[in-house]
Amino acid sequence: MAKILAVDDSVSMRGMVAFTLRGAGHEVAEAENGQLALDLAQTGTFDLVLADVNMPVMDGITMVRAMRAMPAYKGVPILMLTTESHTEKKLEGKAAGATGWLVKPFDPDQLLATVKRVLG
Amino acid sequence: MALKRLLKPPIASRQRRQRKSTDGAEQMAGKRGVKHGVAAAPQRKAPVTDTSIAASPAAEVATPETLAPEETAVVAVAGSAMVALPADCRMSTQGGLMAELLRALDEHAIVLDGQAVERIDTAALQLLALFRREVNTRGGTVSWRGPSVALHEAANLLGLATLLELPAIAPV
Repeated sequence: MAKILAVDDSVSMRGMVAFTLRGAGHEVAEAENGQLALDLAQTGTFDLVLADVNMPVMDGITMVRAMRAMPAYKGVPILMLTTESHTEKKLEGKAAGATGWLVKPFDPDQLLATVKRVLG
Repeated sequence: MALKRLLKPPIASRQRRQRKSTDGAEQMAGKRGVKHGVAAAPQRKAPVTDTSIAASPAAEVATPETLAPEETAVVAVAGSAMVALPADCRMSTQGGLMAELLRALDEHAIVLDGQAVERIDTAALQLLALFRREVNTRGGTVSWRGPSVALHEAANLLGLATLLELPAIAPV
């Protein structure tokens, strides 16, 4: 099972993501914004990062860009999980280095299937 | 265990609930107090205004009509429970929703009463989707009682109507 970092400023949403992933046996760490996620990423390694886009302090796209600059995270899948469904944001996320995009609210089974797929 | 951790309202939510109570909004604290009282003393006959919960099958139970508009209620009857969703069903305003769903989680047959829902947000719909999945995983069933037009529209808009298995709106 994988070590996953869930990043979202909404406590309830982050909790629901973490609950879904833990239910599938994954180990989940949580961060409430991009900056705290980067701090965690520097002190440990994760197999996958799931991040919201709109967050205070540091948004998800800036976080992806910063994470991709870290040697340990160049190849780690990063999924954006957000209510944003605009193409522009998706393209921006992709350009920053995001692996994929999931729209909230998510189907728990679909989330797990996507996680399984990107983890290979 | 993990679910209980998740469904336990976060501190901020609990504080909001406490603030709401002290504001006198719908006497939430009083009703929840009665709920605990019923659990401790099942023989107690609840007054008509006790609308939160009934622990025994024959007890006076809540009906959606008697609920205050902002209140979520759980009515438990011998292995089944009905959770009445509030008119304002947004997680940002309804920190107690998680706790109410948790209370119903141990039952086998759960009815979600969505008749009163006028507003609902993404997080609340997400919670309902997760709740439904968890109940099914435990071998229970979730059914709906009259989901409102607003609930239907929001679930359709966000692509969760099928996942939540919302029934069609009855023609007026």
